[in-house]
Amino acid sequence: MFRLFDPLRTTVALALLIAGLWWARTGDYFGREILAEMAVFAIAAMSLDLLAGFPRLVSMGHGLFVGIGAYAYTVATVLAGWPPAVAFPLAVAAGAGAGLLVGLATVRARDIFYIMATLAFGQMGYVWVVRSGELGGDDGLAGAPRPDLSALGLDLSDSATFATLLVSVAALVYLLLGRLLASGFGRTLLAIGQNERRVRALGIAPGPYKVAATTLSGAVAGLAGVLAAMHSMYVSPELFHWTWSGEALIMTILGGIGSLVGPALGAAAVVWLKYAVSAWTEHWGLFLGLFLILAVWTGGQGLYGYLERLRRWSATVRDARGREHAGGDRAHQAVRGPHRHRPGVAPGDAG
Amino acid sequence: MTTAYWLTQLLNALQYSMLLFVLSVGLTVVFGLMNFVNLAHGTFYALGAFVGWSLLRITGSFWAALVGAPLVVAAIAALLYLVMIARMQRAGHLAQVLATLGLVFVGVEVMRMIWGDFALEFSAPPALAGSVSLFGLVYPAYRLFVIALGLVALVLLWLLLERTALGAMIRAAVDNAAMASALGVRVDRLFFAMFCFGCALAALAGVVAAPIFSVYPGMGIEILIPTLIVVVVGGLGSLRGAVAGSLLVGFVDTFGQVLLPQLSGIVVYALLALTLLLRPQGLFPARA
Amino acid sequence: MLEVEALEAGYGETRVLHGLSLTVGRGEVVALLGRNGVGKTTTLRAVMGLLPPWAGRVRIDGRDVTGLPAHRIARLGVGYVPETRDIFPSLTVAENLELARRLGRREGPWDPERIYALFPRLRERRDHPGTALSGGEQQMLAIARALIQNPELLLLDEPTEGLAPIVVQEIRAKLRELIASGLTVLLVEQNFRFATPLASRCYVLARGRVAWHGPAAELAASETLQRRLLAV
Repeated sequence: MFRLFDPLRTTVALALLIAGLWWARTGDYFGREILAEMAVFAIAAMSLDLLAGFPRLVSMGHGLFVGIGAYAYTVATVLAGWPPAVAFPLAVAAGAGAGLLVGLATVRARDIFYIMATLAFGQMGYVWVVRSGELGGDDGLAGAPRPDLSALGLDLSDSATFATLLVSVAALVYLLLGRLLASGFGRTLLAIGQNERRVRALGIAPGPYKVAATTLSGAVAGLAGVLAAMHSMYVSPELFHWTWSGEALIMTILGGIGSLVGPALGAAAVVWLKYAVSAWTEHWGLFLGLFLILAVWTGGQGLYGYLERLRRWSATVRDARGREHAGGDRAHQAVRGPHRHRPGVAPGDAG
Repeated sequence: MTTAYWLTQLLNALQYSMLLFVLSVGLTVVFGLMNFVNLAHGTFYALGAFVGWSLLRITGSFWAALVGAPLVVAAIAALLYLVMIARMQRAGHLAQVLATLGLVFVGVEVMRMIWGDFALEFSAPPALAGSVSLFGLVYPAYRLFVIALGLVALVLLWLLLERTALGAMIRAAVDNAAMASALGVRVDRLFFAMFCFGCALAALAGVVAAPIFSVYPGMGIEILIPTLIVVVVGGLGSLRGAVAGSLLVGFVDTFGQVLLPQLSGIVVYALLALTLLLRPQGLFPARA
Repeated sequence: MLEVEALEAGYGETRVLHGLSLTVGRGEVVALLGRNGVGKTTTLRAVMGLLPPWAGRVRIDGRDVTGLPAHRIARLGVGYVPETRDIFPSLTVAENLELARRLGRREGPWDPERIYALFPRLRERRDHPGTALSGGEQQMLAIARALIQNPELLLLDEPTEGLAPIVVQEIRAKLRELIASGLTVLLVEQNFRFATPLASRCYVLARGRVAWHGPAAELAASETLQRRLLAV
């Protein structure tokens, strides 16, 4: 079961939020740009976690939703000339609509079939955008505006204000998705991921839950796309390419799939590493790939999984010390059944 | 539009289909055996092209490249399988699949480091460099060679699967791996062999494709998607499925570009979406 | 021949076997009885190595084989006829048998000629694909496929399930013949009336444990036992 206000989860989320807000105030221009990128990826990774971490719909086409959100916003504002206040909800709705369609089309696909189907749908979007003249093809589209929030006293052309806003939106998305995942809906999604047959046996049809989750995930990913378009004021078909979706999945897995805060942490870590590594080598992809292999190899629990293990270990140590002081009790024994809980990436292994 | 024009398109479609067939057949059999999809399959295709390019430079012989590159790539695949994928057996297939996604990223960078960023020229062997006159139509000899090679591979694979004891073992293990192992089949070893064999075939396709498309690091990332579409449309684990899927994707893509240029590239995905909706198991799945 | 000791096994988080023990002596036919879902098939799968045991021991000819993969256990001379028959649909009848014969690599009385003599129907249908067989023919092929490996121990899972009474008669006659030839069998059955005449000893399972074991004749004779153990 997913608990939103789990102490460790809350600590990590608050630490990320405070670090983000502090960095937005004190960082230099380049740092704020990186921070805004982290926030965008964090939102995209959290929306992917809603699918991959709970009902175990490991999507390799998440860029489709992000790309649709970004392009819908850009087309509506730049090409159609609509105001951002109209384009924004429209773009999020476009992401949701794409999620609904993909959810319906893949409702029967499982495991690797799901990977292949989403991979293909994402790539379909890529080819479509690249081949279309109106959308700028390979060159993408420039000029997506940031909304005018001067009525609220906010100047979004200021990089500090914009980064602060994005970090706040990421925090809101975290709270919203967290509330949802802690509810009965979230419990059902998790149960579907653990054992779909048992869910069916309980008389619950998993299909509508999966479609609903994909729609919602599409909406949030669409939001990430809108923010990405506003951030760089430019959209590129690369958002749709399957390697972009693969990168989003890597962030989610590196951070800790199924923990919601982990993917946000993973997004921040990967974006930071990308800039750090790119400073001295152009082969950043090599590291990204090796990180993924390493993360999967070591059990697929990601950074959050390590923090959880650390917490369990420190609790064990504390417990053992307490017993010693209480008067020579037996050493603490960790409980290890043949099927202990292991929130890794392997399907159906969570207990 | 003359008859010769359409005949040329037909041969183009056939040539692309044969390339896709050689690429997808290994992938689909491995998938049928273990429910495992190697996302780095395209990476081995690109690697085959690069290794072939180097062998061509060293030996000066296209044929040495054609034979040597698959062997080198199979050895690399075997090594990667043993140090990485086999050790992740307990983590489940999904974890193994994600590890191959990591290999995609690593592979591109390693190839960039060794062979650079730019497209490399790879010329067809002198014997096949010219054109052939065929029913009043002039067609590049090399492309005819690709079609012939694909057909030979098809016949050999059919004989292997349908007429040998090893083939019966593979079909049995694809049908029902647990029952096959209860009769004494070492399914894990069979899987390993097919994995390496599939990668060798991908490398062969890479060398064969190189004179047509030239050689660049991203070529594997590009070819993966059509290959996966072939596997899904054809149905998993069967030779017939690989043949049918390759022909469908090859023809739909080639004629889609000719007949519906405004939708070029998309038609193949429409084919996939249609398959997923109407026949999610594909046309000829091994396990009905 | 076979010793199972305090075996525990299950699927996912569900434990099916809770410390089950049984033995089968060489040349003996032992029946494993019990209602649906008590763990009969799970026991066979765990012995065959298709399901890794959580705890306990499995020995074949005194050799510890616990946790060995299925292909190793098959090569030690254990033949397996699953409840679902599991004929390979892409192989013809003859190919199904030929594959098993090659993999068996064991000297013994069974060769294709003797198999076809025992099951003439399989000879008639030798070039048909596995999918084109009736339920009874599939069952015969599943038994034949195990026999052609010349097993020392045959694990036979519900050979009569879902078959018409006349086919059940035929299978029973064939099994009598096989048992008379001295084959060692662990027979899983729901239908104790089918099993007790064939077996020398019976184990009755309840909730993953042995609830009763003793001579087959004793179970066949005692209605009290039958009512208590099998609710018939």
